Amino acid sequence: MARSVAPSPEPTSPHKPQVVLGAVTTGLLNTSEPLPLDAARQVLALVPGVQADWRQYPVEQVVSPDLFFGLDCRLAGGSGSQPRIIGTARAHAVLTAGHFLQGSARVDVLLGVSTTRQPWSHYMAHPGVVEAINKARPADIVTGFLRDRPGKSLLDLGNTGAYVMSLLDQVPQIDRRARLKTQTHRLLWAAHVQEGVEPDGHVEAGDDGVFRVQMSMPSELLPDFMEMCEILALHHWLLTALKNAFDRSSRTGPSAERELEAALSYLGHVWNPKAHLPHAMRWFWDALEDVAQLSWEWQTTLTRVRDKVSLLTRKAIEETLLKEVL
Amino acid sequence: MVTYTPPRAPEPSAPIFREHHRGTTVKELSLSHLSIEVGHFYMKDLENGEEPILAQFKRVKPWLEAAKASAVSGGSTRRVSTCFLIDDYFHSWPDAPEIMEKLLRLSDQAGVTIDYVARESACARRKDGFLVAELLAARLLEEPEPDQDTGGRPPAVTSGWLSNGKPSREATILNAMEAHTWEAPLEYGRINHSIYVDVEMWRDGAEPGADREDVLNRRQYSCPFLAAVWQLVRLGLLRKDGVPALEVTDFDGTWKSEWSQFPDIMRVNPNAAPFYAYESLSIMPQNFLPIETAVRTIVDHFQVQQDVMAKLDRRAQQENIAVPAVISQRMSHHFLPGGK
Repeated sequence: MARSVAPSPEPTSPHKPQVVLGAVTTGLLNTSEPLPLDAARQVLALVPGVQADWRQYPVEQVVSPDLFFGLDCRLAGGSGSQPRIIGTARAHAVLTAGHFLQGSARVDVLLGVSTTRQPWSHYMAHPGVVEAINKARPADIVTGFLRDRPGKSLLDLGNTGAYVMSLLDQVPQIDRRARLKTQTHRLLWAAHVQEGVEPDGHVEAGDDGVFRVQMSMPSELLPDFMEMCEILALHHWLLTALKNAFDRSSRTGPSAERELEAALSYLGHVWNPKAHLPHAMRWFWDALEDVAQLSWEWQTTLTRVRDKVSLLTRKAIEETLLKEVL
Repeated sequence: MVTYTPPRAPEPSAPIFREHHRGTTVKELSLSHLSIEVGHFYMKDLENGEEPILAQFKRVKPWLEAAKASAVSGGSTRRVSTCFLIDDYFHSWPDAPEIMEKLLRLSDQAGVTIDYVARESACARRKDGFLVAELLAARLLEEPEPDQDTGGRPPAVTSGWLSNGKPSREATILNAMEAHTWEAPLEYGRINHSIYVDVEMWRDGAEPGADREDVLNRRQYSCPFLAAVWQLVRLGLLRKDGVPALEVTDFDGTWKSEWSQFPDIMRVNPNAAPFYAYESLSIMPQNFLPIETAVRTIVDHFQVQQDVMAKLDRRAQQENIAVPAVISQRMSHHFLPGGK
C-alpha cells in the first residue's frame, strides 16, 4: 500500500510566516444599551470550556477565544498569479465599551514549504497558518491582498470576521433594539515579516471607504500591529458613524433630534485611540495622526453635533414660547 | 574643545499600569511518558464467563511489557500508567461491584496491573452532569473543499457526521439513454488514491425544533466519538476552564452499586504513575480496528486549545522528549490477533 510509509513526526516548532494577512470587521452590537462587563464576558465565551479575556481600564474590552476556519482557496498574487493556500484562519471577537463589536481575522502565510495539499491533521497541528503550494513573492501577496476585491475562490477574511460577529446576533443578552443606524466597516491589513528590519508602514484610505494598512516588521511586533489595526478600525468606524449621523440629521427634518441624540449617547464618550494602544505602535499612531488627524476630525464633528443639538433645542424652546404668546 | 554627548535614551521601564485578565489559565499537569490502555471488552463480555476475560489479559501481558520498555522518556526513569475503559454507555447492568471485582482479580491474575478505571459514559456526561462530549463537538473543524473555502464557511460541525473528503454521488438523469452518472468519492488529503471515511459521531433523538438543551439530552454519541474524547483526555488535551475535562479521583475502597455513581476516572492503584501522558497506546482485540480508524479521523479534526498544547510542549522540551505536533501521531494502537 502506497501510504504505509510511516511519516516522521512533525517538528513542533512551525516555520515562520513571511506574510501575515488580516481583516477587521467593525459594527455596532445590536442592543439599546451597552452590554455590562459580566454579560459581555458571557457572550464572548464563544468556545465552550474557555473564558473570554477582558480588561476594564480605561475602556472596558472583552476578547473572545480564537475560532478557526478551514481554508482552501486562492490569494490575489499582485502580479496576476493566484497561489493556492490551504490551512486555517484564526479569528476572534472584540467588544469595546459594551457596544462596539469587531470580528478580527488573520492568517499566517508560509511560502515554499509544500507543493501539494497535505492530510488535514498537518494543518490542524499548525492552527492559524496557511501554506501556499505555488510559488509566490511575499511583496506580491501583500499588494494583491490589499488591492484586489475578494472574488470567487479568493481569500475573504472580512467574511470570516463578519461570521464571528454574527455569532452574537441571537444571544439572549442583547435586545436587538439599537437606536443608532450604522454600517459595518472593513479594514484590511498585511504584514511583510522580515526579521531585523525597522518597522515601516503606511495606511491607504480607498475610494470604497476601506482603510488598508501595510507594514514591514519583525515577527515579534505582529500581535501589537494586529491590535493597532483593531484600534484603527474601531476609531475609523466611530468617526464614520458620527459623521453619517450628522449628515442624516441634515436631511431627515423632524427626526433630526432623535438621530443626534442617539449618536451622542452611543458614541459621544468613547473616542480614546490610545486607551489600549501597544507601546510599540505609538510611533505609527502618532505619525498617522500627524497627517490624517482623525482625532481632530472627531473633535470637530462632535462639536458640530453638539452645536446642532443646542441650536435645535433653542429653536424648539422659541417655538414653544411663540405658541404660548399666540 | 566642547563635545556634546546626547542624553541617554530612557530605558524602557516596566509599565506603570497593567491590566489584562486572562479568561482561562491552563493548569500544569503531572504527566506520565506513556498511558497504556490494557484491553477492551463490551459490557456483555464482562457479564459473561471469566475465561475469555482472563484470556484477553494474558494476551495483553507480553505487549504491555514491550510497550513499557518502549516508552520515550528522554533519559529519565520511565513513567508509565495503565488504564481500562468500562463500556457502560450503551448497556449497563446493575452488578457493577461484581464486575469490578472480577475485572481487577482476573487482570491481576494475568499479571496486568490496572492503575486507572474510567467509564465510557463519563466521556459523554460527567458525574456532575457536565456534557464533556460537547467540548469535543464544538472543537471539530471540517476539512475545506479544494479551491472552494475562502473563509466564510461556519466552522461548526452540525450534522453529526464527519468525513475526510467528499462522498460519491449518484445522479439519476431522466434520459433513457443515460440511466445515471456516478462521481467517485474523494479523500481531500489523499496520496495517490482515496480512502474516503465518513464517521457517525452522534444521532439526535429530539423532535425537529426542540431547544438545544433537549437536543443535547437526547443525543446519543457513537462509540468512536466517546473513544476520541477518551484519547484526548488521556493526552491531557481536552480541558474545561484550563483543567482536564475528566479528573482523577482516588478509589475509596468500596464499589458503588450503580455505574453512574462511579467517579469519572478512578485511581485503583495507589502507587500508579500519573494518569495523563505525553503519548498513549491502546492494546485491544483487532475487531476494534474500524472503530479506532474512526477515532483517529475525529482526532485529526480536533482543534486543540493552543495554550494547552504550548504548555505540554514546553514541559516535554524541558524533559528532553520530542512530542509530535500532530495529535493523532501521539496515539498508537496494538491490535491483538484472533477474535475477542
